[in-house]
Amino acid sequence: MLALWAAVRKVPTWVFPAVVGLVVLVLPSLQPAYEVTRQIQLTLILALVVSGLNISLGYSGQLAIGQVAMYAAGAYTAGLLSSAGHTDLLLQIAAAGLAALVVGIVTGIPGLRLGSWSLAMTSFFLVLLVPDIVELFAEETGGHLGLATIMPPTIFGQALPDDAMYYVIAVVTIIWFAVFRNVVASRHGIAFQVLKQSPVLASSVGMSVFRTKLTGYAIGAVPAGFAGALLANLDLFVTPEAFSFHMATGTLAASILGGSVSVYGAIFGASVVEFGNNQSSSFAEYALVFFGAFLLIGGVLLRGGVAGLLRTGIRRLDRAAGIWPRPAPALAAGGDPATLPPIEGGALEVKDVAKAFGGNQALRGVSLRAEPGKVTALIGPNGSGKTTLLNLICGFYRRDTGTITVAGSSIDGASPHRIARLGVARTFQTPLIPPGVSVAEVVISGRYTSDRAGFLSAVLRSPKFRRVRRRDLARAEEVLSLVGLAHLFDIEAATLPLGQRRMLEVARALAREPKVLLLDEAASGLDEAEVETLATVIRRIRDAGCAVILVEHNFGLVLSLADHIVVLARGGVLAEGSPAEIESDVRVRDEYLGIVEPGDEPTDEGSATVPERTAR
Amino acid sequence: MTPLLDVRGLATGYGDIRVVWDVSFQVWPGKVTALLGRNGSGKTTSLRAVAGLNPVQGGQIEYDGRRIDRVAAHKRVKAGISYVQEGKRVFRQQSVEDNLRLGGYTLGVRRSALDADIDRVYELFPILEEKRRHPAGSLSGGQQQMLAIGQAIMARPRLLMLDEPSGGLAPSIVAEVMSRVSMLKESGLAILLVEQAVEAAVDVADHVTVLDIGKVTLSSAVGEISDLERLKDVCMGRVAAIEES
Amino acid sequence: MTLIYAGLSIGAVYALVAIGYNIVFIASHSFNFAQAQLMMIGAFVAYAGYVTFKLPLVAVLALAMVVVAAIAALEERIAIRPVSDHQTQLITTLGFGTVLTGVAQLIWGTQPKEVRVGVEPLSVLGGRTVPIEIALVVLAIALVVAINIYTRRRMGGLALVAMSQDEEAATLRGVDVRKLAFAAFAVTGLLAGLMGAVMAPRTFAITTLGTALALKGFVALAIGGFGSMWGGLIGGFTIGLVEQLVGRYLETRLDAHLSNLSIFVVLLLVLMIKPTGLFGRVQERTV
Repeated sequence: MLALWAAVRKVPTWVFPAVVGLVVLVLPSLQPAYEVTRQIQLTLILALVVSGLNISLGYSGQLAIGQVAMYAAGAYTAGLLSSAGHTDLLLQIAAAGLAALVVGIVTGIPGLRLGSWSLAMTSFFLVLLVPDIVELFAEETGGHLGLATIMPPTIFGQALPDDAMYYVIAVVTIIWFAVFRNVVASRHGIAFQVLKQSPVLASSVGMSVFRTKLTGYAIGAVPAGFAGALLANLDLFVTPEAFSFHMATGTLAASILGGSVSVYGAIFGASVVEFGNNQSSSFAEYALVFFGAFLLIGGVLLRGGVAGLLRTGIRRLDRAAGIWPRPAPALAAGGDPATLPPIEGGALEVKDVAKAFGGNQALRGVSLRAEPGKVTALIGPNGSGKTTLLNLICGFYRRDTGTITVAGSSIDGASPHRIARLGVARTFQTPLIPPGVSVAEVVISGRYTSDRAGFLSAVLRSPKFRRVRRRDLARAEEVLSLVGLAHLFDIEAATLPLGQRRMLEVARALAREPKVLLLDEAASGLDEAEVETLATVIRRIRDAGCAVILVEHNFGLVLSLADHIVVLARGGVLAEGSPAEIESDVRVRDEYLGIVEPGDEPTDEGSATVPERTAR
Repeated sequence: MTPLLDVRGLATGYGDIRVVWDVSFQVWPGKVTALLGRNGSGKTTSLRAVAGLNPVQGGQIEYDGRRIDRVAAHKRVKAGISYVQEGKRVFRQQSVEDNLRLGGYTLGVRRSALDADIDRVYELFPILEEKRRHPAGSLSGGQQQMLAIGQAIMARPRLLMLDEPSGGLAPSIVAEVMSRVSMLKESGLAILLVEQAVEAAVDVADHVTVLDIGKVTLSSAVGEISDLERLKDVCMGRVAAIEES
Repeated sequence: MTLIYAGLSIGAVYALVAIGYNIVFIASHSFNFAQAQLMMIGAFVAYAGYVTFKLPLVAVLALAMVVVAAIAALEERIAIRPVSDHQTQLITTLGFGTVLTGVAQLIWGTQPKEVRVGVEPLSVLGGRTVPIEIALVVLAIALVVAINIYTRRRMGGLALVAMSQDEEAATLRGVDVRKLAFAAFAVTGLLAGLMGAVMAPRTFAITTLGTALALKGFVALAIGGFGSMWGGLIGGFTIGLVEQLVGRYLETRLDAHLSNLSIFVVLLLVLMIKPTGLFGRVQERTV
């Protein structure tokens, strides 16, 4: 049995949906009943809308749920074009996609600055407005009676035969899902999930949160537009009633049921909802109850929907058949896993930096220099300003005076993701690891902006894309070997214990060959053996040429590892020097164990702005 | 004398970040036990476990002869454990007096019946009476610290846990706060004092336990500590005190 | 003036939705999308009680309050408590609200149900109004005042506000945070039942009402600021008035439904210019 499973699994996964697609294309030749083909067409159209929801809600984690409004925009755009004489279907589809794109981006704007509720309510409100806007331009759109002046579609001047719409819908859907799949099964899909996990994390690996969110809204809007154009040409009639809350709730339910973080789940969810819609009219009465129940159950219990269940099931079988996890990839010949290829490190220079919060002078004229090829430790008691300095270097605060440069380039006023691209990488006190991605993928996400392959390359799987992918995988193997996690290449990263997740964060930070590596209390929570391993890895990173900055409480680790120690106290540099010097410095000891003067940084230092820091 | 609080072999942390590995200490009525060590050593985490905010992942916590590992945090307050967190976590938008009333939440009486208890707090910290109607957020750091302690006392605790009451305060204010702690000790409260400021703590403590990276490195009655400098070295984690003696 | 009264009364309804949102927000930092649907159920129960079973007024109100409180308690248990993050909470409360709408449709159908509290129109200050309109405005204001008094004078109220500021500190003062959040939610249900019953004569009991109320109530919330009772009140009145004025002056010109659009514009303006609202201290945290 399991042998059969193993054989089946050797087939690339995309083959199965492709077969389904083929079946759909071939179906009409079997002369099925009209209801069947209509059902399939409506399902495919709905699936397009749902897929948009999966991209913005599922993968990007944005509550941009106004797909129905974009669907309406697409339908009316196509309908109006047709009524005006432009019956070319391809033109209409493109225009509809564009219209939906514009609507999607505009309504996504609240989400750029604000949080999920505002975004959700704004996008939902738009659905409420559809009938009003249609009514506003009633002369052109036919108002609530509907647009009935749509002419039969043509392609390249040829009128389409009656049953050709089926093929058009099927082909558009197949192409779109192939695009969708290619996008999410690439580094772009991982990037979306990184954003979903934490915008702070996304910035720290160099991603522009603003652009990534916008891209999510845009890609999530386009298929809804296509769906609208197809609907308009299927029925040659568009009415605002088709774009109601009932539909919006159904779309959301379909997404959740099928699994929001999935590609084909959209098709499954759409077929269930469409199937339900098509039942007797008495079902229509129950429809809302079912949709609501799907949302409830999906939100509470069935996280991941049917797709999630399927994935878990497949993993179990894979494990039982011994084909997963795959054995550690063979190392490149001649490579020594214990050393890292040289990294061009850069010095981090902080000059006379001061920062005040309201009345509190958190940092007063701090200067320090972290050299490449050395470990510089930053230590200090509560209220010393360590956290503030860390946040300043990463770009979450702006300094009041002074300069901070990385390898000579000033970071003044740069946003966090710019600073990351300048070569500053960091780990977090609480590891930020998105769920549902493998260890290798986490590391690859670190390289997202240092090696580029655009969306188009991803969709077409161009040679450039494949090259970048090879480099991604090679680099992942390299750094994972260094930190000792190579054997966990395929494992779901979020399930690892703390010590390994810490190491994974270090690996991710290394993926882009940073000039400066900031380790934020990397030893906290680790047992002695793990701290030892961490120290070994840090030494190798230092030897490779990186400038390592260690923000630590673990005094023993600092003394044994650091080349240079900077002690902060009350917002200023109290002492700096070699471990031996600091260890015997009585002032340092007294500072830690004495009374801290008032007027320092906000007292809940441990839970400062960067939201993921754990409170002490 | 049997301790009111007996913590043995405690292991705890945040989620799967284990910060405290094996910590033991006791607190007796009418006495102050000081928990010392640098930041990151696990002092606050240990207090949080006693208060019920962090789960007990190993060892046990015995209060008044009963295991309380699984008792919900808010119920421990009613049982007599009051915890003053570090960072002066009072309710900033509400008045000083309302903050104190909230301290008496577990007494289960009407708002007006708390007046006597509130007056007692005002006796201990007169400055609070002056500012009774001001929002707590407008008080200075030292006053907020006193308010936080006052809140904790309102619940008529038997065990009072203070987390770095000296934090962010000028030395003179610290002395004032510590003198109140002495007074409270005299009234029979068992007090667990977590501090980084070694000298201030030793002045008022009867017993000292030093933590380093989640383990105990020294546990001794204050009277037996002769060398303050050595104690400080132990707190910094430089000296392995247990082996030395 | 008639317009003003109409605007204030419908504004009071929006404000009532916002009040419901605010209580839940203060108690547990959650957003209950189903708030408006709870009120709608209250309206339907009022219809059933008053029109179908011909019960006396007091009994109708009591019935509505009890029924909706029970439903709210259920919602807290299955849609809010088990879910920890905000995104999913929106979806589960939306789901619950949808179920409520669906059930209401099954029981009462989709046609609006009129609840005639047969009283004659009055003439006040040069404008015409009906007692129910005045009742709504009075109810909204009275509720805000009552809630403010409660949160300042009663221990439960103090604890609620404290919990909202610092949940951990409140727990350490002995507050059973979960129980209190649950109680607050159930009370929101109680109030929603009352509000729904009182609004029924003005808005009728219609199943399609829920979502529109939910969205406009959110705009009121956004204008006033998350967590501010008075803010929600002012926000509600504002959009009620905007809606009526636009309806009267712009719509008749252009012969189209612009009132929703105008409220949407107000929403966008508020979110862009002052995201914390007029009185809010808390900006809804960025995800």
